[in-house]
Amino acid sequence: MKIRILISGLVVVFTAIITASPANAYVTFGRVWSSTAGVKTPYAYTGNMPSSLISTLSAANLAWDGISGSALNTGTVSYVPSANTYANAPFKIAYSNIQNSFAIDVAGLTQSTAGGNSATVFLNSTWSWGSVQNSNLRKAHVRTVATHEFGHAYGLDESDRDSNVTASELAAVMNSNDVVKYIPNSDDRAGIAYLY
Amino acid sequence: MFIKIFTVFSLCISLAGCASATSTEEAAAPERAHLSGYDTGLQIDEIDVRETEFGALGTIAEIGEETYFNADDGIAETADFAVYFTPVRITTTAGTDDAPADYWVVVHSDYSPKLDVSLLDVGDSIVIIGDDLSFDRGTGVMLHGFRYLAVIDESTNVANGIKEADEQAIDVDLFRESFGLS
Repeated sequence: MKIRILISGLVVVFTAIITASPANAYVTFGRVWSSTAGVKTPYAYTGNMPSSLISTLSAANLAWDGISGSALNTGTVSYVPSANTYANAPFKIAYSNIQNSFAIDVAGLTQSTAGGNSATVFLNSTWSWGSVQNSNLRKAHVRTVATHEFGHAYGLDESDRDSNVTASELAAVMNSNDVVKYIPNSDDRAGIAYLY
Repeated sequence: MFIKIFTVFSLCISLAGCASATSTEEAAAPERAHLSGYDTGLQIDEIDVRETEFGALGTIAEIGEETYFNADDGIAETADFAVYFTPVRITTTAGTDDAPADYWVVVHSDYSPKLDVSLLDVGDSIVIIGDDLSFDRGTGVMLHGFRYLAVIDESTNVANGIKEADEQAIDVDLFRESFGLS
């Protein structure tokens, strides 16, 4: 009898947990920024970011701005000459040797913590950056990779990591499948709307 | 009956409280940085070894305890967080000319796409496409990164990658061919 009651109790608890989870297709690892107040502005430092990339990086971050159902506001990259200003910024984008820093050789990498209110996007300076996306050749399409990484900086995970991958997830900016794409699709937008 | 059900729920809440308390105690360790890479994983039609990499077959010789590195270990931009990883030692049985004979690799703990170190056991036969460069991350040994690490299923001669994004069950002979071993 006691066992039956215990099992019933646990079923109630687990049912409550399961029903509390959102039944969404998009994949997130948690909201990075606790507040939607203000514009989320990534800071780049003139000492480690080529000026030729700034306008494209700004466009990439703006891709996540004004999404329907979301209060998230994103802005253009703030390109600063002050190392101190850059160091103290909660949101950074750097052009550096990712392999040297993290022992991971990918085009782009985002460091964040759920609820940490900070994120750093890294673009691998040892790759070729331009209009081609081909990881095997270590060539990166600037806007594709940057838009993807900024999506991580807001808490979106790789879109094809759940058990039942949809066509929308495969076509999402958050799917790092080496295809040039930088306009958030319905899956990407739904993820942002859920988080913010 | 109500009292018994209430007791069950009280027990559940107490257990949850214990779990929270344990988490609080563990929070003394540096905060975990989550790393998300633009990482396609290895796909069967893209098996290659880049100029900056070595390819090898080998054996898992040792699996260390999870540890971390941070800004103190020369990592720019990461002053506030720590990057956790498990060091894994591998001995090479055959590989490209630049493959080291005995070396450690970094298996990151909090990485997307997920890397599952629990799939590795000492003595496992493996396939690796690793980075030529190695770095000291405060462990006292030089550590290599890798793009692909897979356990070989000897019964079927296929490699199963430990990275979530890797295509699974790739014929090991394809790696032998790519590494110039066949």
